[in-house]
Amino acid sequence: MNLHLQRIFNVQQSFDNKDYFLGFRKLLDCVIDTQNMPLYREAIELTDWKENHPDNTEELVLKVNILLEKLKNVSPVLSSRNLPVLIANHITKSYRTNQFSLQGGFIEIYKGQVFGLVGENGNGKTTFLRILAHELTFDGGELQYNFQDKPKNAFHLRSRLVYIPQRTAKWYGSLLDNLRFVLSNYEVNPDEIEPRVLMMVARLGLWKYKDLQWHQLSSGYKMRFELARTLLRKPEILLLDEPLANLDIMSQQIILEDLKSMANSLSHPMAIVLSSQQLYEVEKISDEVIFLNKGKQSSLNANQKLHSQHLMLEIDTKITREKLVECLQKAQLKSISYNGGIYIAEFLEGITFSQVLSQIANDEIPLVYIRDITSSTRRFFVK
Amino acid sequence: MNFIHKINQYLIVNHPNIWNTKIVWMLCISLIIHLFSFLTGWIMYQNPQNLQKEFILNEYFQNGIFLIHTILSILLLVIWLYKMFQNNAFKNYYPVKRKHIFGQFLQFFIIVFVSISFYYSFIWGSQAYINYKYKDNVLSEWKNQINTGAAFLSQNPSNYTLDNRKYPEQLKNLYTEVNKNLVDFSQPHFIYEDLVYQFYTLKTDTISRDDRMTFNYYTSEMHAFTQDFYEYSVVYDKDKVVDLSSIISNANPSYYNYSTVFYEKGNESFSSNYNFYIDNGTLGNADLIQQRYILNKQINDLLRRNDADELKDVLAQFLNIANELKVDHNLTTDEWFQLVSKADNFDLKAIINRFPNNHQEPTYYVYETIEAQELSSSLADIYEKGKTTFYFNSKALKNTLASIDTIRNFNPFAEYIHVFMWISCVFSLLIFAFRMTHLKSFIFAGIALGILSLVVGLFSLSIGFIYPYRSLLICAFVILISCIIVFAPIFSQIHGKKKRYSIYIVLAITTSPLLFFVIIQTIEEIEKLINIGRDQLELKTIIISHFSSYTLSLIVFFAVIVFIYLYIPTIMKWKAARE
Repeated sequence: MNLHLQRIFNVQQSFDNKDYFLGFRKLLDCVIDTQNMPLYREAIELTDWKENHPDNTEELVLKVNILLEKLKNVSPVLSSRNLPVLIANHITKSYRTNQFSLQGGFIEIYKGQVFGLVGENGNGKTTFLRILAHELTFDGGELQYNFQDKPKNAFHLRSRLVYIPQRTAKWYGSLLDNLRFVLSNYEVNPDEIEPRVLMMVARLGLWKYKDLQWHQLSSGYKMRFELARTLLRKPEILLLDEPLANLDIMSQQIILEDLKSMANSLSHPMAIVLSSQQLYEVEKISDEVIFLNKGKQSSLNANQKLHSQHLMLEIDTKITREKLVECLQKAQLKSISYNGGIYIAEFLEGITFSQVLSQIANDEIPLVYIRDITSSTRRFFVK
Repeated sequence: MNFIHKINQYLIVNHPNIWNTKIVWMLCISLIIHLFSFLTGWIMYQNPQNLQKEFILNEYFQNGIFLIHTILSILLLVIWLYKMFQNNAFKNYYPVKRKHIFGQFLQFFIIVFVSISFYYSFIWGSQAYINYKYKDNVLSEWKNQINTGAAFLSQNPSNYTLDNRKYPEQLKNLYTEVNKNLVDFSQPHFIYEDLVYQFYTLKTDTISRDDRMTFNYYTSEMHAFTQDFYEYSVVYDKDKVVDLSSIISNANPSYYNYSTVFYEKGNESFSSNYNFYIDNGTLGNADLIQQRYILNKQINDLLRRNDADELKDVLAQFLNIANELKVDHNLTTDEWFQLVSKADNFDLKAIINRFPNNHQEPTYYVYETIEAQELSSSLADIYEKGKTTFYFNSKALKNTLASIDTIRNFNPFAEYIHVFMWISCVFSLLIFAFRMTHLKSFIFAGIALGILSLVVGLFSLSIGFIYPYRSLLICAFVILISCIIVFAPIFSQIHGKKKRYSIYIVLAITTSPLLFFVIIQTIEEIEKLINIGRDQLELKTIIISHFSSYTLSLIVFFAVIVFIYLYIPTIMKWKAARE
């Protein structure tokens, strides 16, 4: 079974599991993969029907199945992912005014990958992203881009590097016109502009909001529209500065999943670098997380199992510190710190998360929250 | 509204640049306003009294239409800019090409031009109406009838004295000496009370341009007048006295003597005092002399025939035209005829006023009244004794004819086009620079321009003593600064100095016309330097002297357009640079 059919199968499964919301988004991804305009139009019609009949799931499933059958007959053209789209080799930059210095490591990012950029405020996340986006100069190191078409000049290169700043500019006029304007500037076939725009609106869950004005949108939807505008440019690398700021937890998860999913598009995969303070959400979807501390880079590969590290837990509980320490010492606690809200506990080598959980259960310690941060960049934040 | 939406949708997907600049809608709205302006122009002169003002083309600026057009232009441009600035593909790094950016600039120019040039449609409306209402053949006939009839409009006794006489042909090219001190009383002459006339043949002499400066015309009592041409001057001196007693019986002011052309196309802007100059100063002007001769002959023939009906016809035709043009008067054909034929021999006995007796004369008529006050005592006597209650506003008639000719002959592409062209060009350059960069660069560029002007000012003061190279040095200094501004972003590494170079970019774009004008000025200065000490006929010209100022204006304009096209890659390079 090829990747396309595998994805169609996943859509089918989601609908079978009655995960209609997730299934429908995956369905639209499959349609986008095909780049087939008649299918785009059918998917748009289906979205419109779905929005007007939110409770008629039975008929929705039937219509989805018909569309899935058609999708099976179309094979998307797969894009190459062999070369890293961006290589940043020990980028450095110093600001004389506040004596800040950025010292990047080696980064190699391929299409389909998502890199998270985390760190405390003022540690150089935005500077780093802006350097990658060709917006700021840097003092040392090397930066290399490998795009499908070699950029003809510096402006062409800038047009390929899509950077969304934390504060996006206001849109004027009709939202859809703004989206159409992007595609026409990219010289997309005029007949394809409307279906592509509506498809992106549908995919990012903006169908109900497409006829509103910019000032009528919440911050979250503004970010989604900005994302729609950006994705229409079919970037090979997308650089996002704090896209999750101002979003509620559900929106954060959805937008991250959408980004991950679109980064993995079969026809137009892209590399994504995003900065965020939402550590766990970012870690969940990132292939690699880059931590910046006072400008210095440390990375933590999500696939790496850091066996050499001691178990480190983040615990929130209402009981006193003494009682908690008494309990955890039974599980060979090495050290514990309290930042006023959350305890960070480190254990001796060889202790597992299950053993600690078992001890906590035995002592009937009431927990509000516990998380294993051994393999998380969260540990870098521990002073 | 649906069709607007459809057109917009078509434009946005097919021609995003055109959609963004809103040129289609701007042209449509401007066209409607142009149409209204055209209609205003058409209606404006339906009442011929509106044509009675002097300098009719300036009326546009004085009657409120200019104000309305200005307000409309400002409104249009402000709304346009607000709408257009809502989207900017270049600032968003969409893959725009040079042709798109250049196309935008041209569109700015066209939009600004059509939004500020309502003056044209107003003038075209006026012109269309005047051409429709006053046909060539009618006007030509009117002018003949007016020039004949005006001979009997005895308002200025000076026009009826003997020195005006051009008929018979013998008198045509004779010079009349009227200065008592220069008249040779031993030779044939004519006297009317305190006025004396002596007719002379003329001899001519040519002097070169250089000699002209040192030649003193007034040392010789025989000097009549001089005609100056570019390369030389013709000096007319009195030669021999001619005895005309066989054809002139007396020197009384008479209708027979009248030869002043009341209205002639081209002379509309001159006052009647100009006639004096015409009388003696342009005897060398064969056309004018011929005209006066023909008119005088016509009058003489008419008076000699002494046909009351024929004369009445002439007067009636004149009054008919005056009535049609709504010229203010209280004459009737019969009453006027009575005034003309008051003396059997058609001597001047009656004076027709220009205005009713109780009329408060506007300031621009003052010179006409002074003329009356400066008459010699004998003519003043005629003026006083001959005064009647009749009046005819001859100035209004003359102005009306002049206005008709001015409007008919107005060539919109001759002068004003350059004014509108440059306003549009400068404005579109400012918009273009603003759209390519940002507000901060724009403000800093303004400050930088102020400082540079100060530097140039100080430079020109400091080299004030170096003559004759001063202007050339200032021009060279300005060109040097401009070249640094223009070429620095082309050849420098902009990365890391983007803000500084944005000021260069704004200055290069907005001051490009200045640069080209200074280049032309420099070439002119070089020409001047080359020609120092050379004779007029040996002057060496390089290029500039061959062109009129309008041609130079067009050359600079196209140079600016080409410059913008060539400079776009530099603007793109700047935009793509890192901060």
